[in-house]
Amino acid sequence: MTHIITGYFGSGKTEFSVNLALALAKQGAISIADLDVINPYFRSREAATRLASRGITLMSDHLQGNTGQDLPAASFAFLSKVRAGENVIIDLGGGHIGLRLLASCYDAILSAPAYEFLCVLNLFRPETASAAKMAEYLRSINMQTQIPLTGLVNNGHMLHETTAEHVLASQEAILSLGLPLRYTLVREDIYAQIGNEIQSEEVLTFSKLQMREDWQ
Amino acid sequence: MKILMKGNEAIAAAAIAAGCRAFFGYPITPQNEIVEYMVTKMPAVGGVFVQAESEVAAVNMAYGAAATGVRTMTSSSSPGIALKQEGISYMAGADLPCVIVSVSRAGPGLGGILPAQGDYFQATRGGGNGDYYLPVYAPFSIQEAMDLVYKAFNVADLYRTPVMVLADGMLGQMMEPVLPINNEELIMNNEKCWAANGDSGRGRRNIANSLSLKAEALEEMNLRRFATYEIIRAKEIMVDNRVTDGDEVALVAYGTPARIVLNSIEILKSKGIKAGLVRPITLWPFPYESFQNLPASVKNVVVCELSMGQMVEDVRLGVAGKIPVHFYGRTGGMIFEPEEIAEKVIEVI
Repeated sequence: MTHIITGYFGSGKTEFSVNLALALAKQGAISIADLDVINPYFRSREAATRLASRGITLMSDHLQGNTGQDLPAASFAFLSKVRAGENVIIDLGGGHIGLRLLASCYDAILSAPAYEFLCVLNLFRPETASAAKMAEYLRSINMQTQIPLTGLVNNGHMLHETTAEHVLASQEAILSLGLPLRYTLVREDIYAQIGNEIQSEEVLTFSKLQMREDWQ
Repeated sequence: MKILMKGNEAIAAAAIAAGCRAFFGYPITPQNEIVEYMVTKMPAVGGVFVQAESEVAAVNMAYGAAATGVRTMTSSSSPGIALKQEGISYMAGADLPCVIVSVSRAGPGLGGILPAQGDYFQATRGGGNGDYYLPVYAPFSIQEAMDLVYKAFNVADLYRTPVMVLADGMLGQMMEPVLPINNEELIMNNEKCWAANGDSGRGRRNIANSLSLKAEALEEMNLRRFATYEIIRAKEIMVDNRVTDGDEVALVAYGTPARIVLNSIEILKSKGIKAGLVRPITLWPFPYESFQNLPASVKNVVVCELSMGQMVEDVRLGVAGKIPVHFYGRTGGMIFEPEEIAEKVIEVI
């Protein structure tokens, strides 16, 4: 199964992608492809060592080392995994520009047995700050890609200041958009408070942010 | 209500809230979101956005716009700020207010695109010619970056000087919840008596110029400008001094590395070592007094920078040889961990 993850930059795509990889790794081998051509910092490749220790392969560009720079291309090795129906997560860059790289993966995705194309949404980013703005954003994704979204992810958050209200307010907006709410990403102490109110098909919980140091 | 913003977006939003209506930019990582924000938001407030053909063009467009009295900003990152130095010197020489945002990355030369603080000298000592200074603000959170950008426009207008906001790449790229700027009391005063905006009923036209061939007149202008710098030194110094009596070590850092140092202080506390942070917020004028007046309990000063050591020279001027000043730094885009700094402190005390 291929999971393609998109969203406005700052929605928490990479945080979600890494958590999804950690969850799916419990069921078998999985690769995560960092195809983010937008952000120079806070990339899934920064979690490479941690991911490797859990049996997750990170597929990135060919510029080795901590450069922050890209060769934005989907490698043949990675596309082969997609075609073969192996478990692959594609972590795209934010916004409609970040989606462009997906075009080089269409053939492989469409010949794969199954795929999920998920959009991560956070009500507390100014560009997706209401259900109407979210709907407009989803339309811009549809116009950019040739494959429809299969579901949404609620990542309503304010980083370290996130409360239960943020998660639920974001969920309410997302539920009005008419696409399946596939996942919620939520810190475990907040989940303990409001678990019964979360309406997504699946929930990913975490204790500590993967992409942030304590001082950030 | 708070919203979640990326540092670069927040800097641009604060500039527009402060009445910035002219922005001239050129792309460079890690400041690109400032330019992107300006191109989408500036037309909505009736402002001017130009993506110039180079950093040199952008700063000279800013020079021209600032001369008309409009609140003006330009931004770049380290090598781009190097290219802007000529324009900054000209604006200082023509007494023009302008805000310059530097989102610094690793150097020298083209260097790398990861965060660094090797531009302290560039910001506070400048690469432009002649006798001039400019106020330099160094925020350590995105909220503070917004507040300081807002303030920078007021300070620029008040003293008729270019002002720099020096943010490291980490601050530009990270996200934080912020309160949007409340600008209800903003007075949009573009009608400045010195502005080169035609006759405007004055009976004469103003000219913005940094050329003055008469030695007597040029010296007089320089003396007057330095009298203004004395007022800035007296009134505008900002410092976050958390050292208290009983602390045995003063740790010094500016920008986001100060946040790492706060974690180091917690680690030291757990080992029974009392340390406090001094965080200069204005890098020029530098808060020398905070270092002249450290409590007697402080036996060592450790300066932490993402450079080979630049601010450490100002700290030494402040301490004036009374206490040993040590340095710990990382470069190239490498960022120190809280534990590394704690180990350095344990090594020197």
